[in-house]
Amino acid sequence: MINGYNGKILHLNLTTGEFSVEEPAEHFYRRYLGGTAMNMHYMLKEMAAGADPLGPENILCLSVGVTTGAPISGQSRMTSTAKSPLTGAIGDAQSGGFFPAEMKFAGFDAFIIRGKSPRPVYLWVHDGEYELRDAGHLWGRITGDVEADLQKELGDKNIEVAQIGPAGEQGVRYAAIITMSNRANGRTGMGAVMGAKNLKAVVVRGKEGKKNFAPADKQAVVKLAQHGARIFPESNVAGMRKYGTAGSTGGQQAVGGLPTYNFNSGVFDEWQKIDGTTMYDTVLKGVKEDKQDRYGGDTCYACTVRCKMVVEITTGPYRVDPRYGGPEYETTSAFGNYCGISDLAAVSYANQLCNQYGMDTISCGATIAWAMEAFANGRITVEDTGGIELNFGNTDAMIKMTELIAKGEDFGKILGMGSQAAAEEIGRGTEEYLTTSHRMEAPAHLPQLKSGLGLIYAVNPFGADHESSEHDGGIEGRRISAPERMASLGFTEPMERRSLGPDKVRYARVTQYLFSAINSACVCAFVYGPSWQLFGQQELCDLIKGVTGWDMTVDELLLVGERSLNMQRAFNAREGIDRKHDTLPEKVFAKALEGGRSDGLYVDRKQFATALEEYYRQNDWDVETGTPARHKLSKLDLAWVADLLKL
Amino acid sequence: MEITLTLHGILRDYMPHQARGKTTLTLSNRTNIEQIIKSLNIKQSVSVAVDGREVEIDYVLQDGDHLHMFCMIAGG
Repeated sequence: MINGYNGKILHLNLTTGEFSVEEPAEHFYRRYLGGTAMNMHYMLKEMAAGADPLGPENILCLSVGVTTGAPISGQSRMTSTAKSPLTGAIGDAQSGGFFPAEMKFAGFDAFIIRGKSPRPVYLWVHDGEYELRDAGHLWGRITGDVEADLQKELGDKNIEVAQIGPAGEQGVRYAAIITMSNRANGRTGMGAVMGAKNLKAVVVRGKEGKKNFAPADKQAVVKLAQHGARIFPESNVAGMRKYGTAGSTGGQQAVGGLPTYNFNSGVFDEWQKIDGTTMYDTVLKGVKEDKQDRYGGDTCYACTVRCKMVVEITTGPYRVDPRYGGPEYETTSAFGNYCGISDLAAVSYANQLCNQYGMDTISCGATIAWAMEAFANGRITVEDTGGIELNFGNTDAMIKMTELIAKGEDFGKILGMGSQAAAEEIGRGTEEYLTTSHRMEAPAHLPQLKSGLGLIYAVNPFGADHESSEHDGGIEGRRISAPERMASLGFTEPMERRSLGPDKVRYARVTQYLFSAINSACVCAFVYGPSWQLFGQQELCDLIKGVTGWDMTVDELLLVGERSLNMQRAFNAREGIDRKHDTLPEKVFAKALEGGRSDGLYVDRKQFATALEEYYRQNDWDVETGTPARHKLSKLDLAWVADLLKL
Repeated sequence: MEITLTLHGILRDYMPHQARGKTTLTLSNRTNIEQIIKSLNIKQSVSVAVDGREVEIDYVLQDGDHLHMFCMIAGG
């Protein structure tokens, strides 16, 4: 493998069992970098409009980026893309770990998976070889057991497995693809797509690939990696190694930014019980011997940040096996403050259930929180829940409901559809409590407080997402925290967190391009980004240059992101999804937050509508429909997309 | 005058472990937050809030203030 990529894409039709290998030219890789942008090429070109997300006509694309496998932090990410069964729009999800690098070493840059297998199978790819194998004996089983069995079956402890759990098999609309039994391509239901194809797992191993990984300028990559290790201890991501992402809970609480009781408040009185520092002090593996620094964390391939927490709980009602990892901030929020629950063991156990059964923790916790608010208002009753008192703060009820969703039983079957589909099914005014944009449940950041992020929740093609732009905090305050990085994107003047004028729209839009590029290059948004991350966008360009030899500039990087975003919007337009879907949940306009420093805050409807039009104008999209026209697509080297859409 | 200081996330490591990130400080009048950051030798770029309201680091502390400091990260 030279210059970072294999030059090989593996196509697989599960209906017929046929394989083919495509060998794209260099310009294909430079145009897309990998990940979302590359996947969108296939989603647009090879899938007709109106496909059933859970039908054989949906295409599941799993891909890595040109830098995946390089010996440096934050490069081992894999992007999964398909039409989403949760949203009906484009679906997209990323995760890290060791699978992405091993996939690259196994000889391919992407797997493009069509059709539906007549029986459960898994895909086994190793050192350029590939085959489908029977997975009948694995079907119905949880991730940790499947991973252990596959290691035995294939006689190799170093295989990496991307798999679905029982939730994906049953079509839970927010089922995830799980790697290492504790990392999730969580959002938008990619696990349900895999399950509908009868594909239990993708297993990769590349014994030769790692040795043969040859960057164009190895010295440059090594130098950058060493620089990262040197600056890490004083960087803003240093805390993630000890306290994980949940170490940010206190900061969120301090400013009233911690979504609580299904987004009705920005403060949770018992936040300290589920904070990352409490996790470190009480439940991390090794804490009893005061050795949690040694045993309580985990990492992704070649990453110095090591932000993954490992929880072990051996007593009490909620026991947690360390192989299922530990909860992120999003997870402590979704099962914690969203639901008014402060039992860290229970939250960790819910995280374990999601990793065992393969579900997105955000959508799962948020859907339960939605049901809790409906229950509190008498719109859902014990008649619906099968006798479960689904009150905010009822820990056992939250766990029971997570189990029912995972197993597709009783009321869990309804909640497994996602909150919006569940509200449509139940009716009775329960839509009033939704926290969805584009039918996906919001992550743990408040649009009432972070106005630019709120705009991105509304316009993001795959729904409300917190890793699709830089948050408003990156540009606020008299002293911007990363002035050089911001200046290189054209931002030199601070902006108020809650402002939503043309400048803030530009900030949200340009950083959205950058994050779209990050998800195409398949690098980590904690390691590369425009603000608090370990490296800035210039270092990402330096890395891409070091690996591929291309003289990548920040402008070219942003163009890749803009291209990816436009492809996603074009895909959605083809599905009939346009401006009318670009909004925030009604409750953030209609009802002010209660309590704490964010008391009384809401999203101003008129200001939001004005910002939305400004966002379309700045993107050079049709303001009436919010979609790109031919002239815009042509500017992005995407005239073929305009041809496809008959624009 | 006295203020309460809470350091969140990694910042709590700038205090002895037993403090769990929370302490009371006796300060002379006209002390601002930047002076506290310097005295603790904090290296990360921080966000600061007093009684839940985000302020600039040149904010002059008042008796009874509860100062929160946290490292800006977002996501998870």
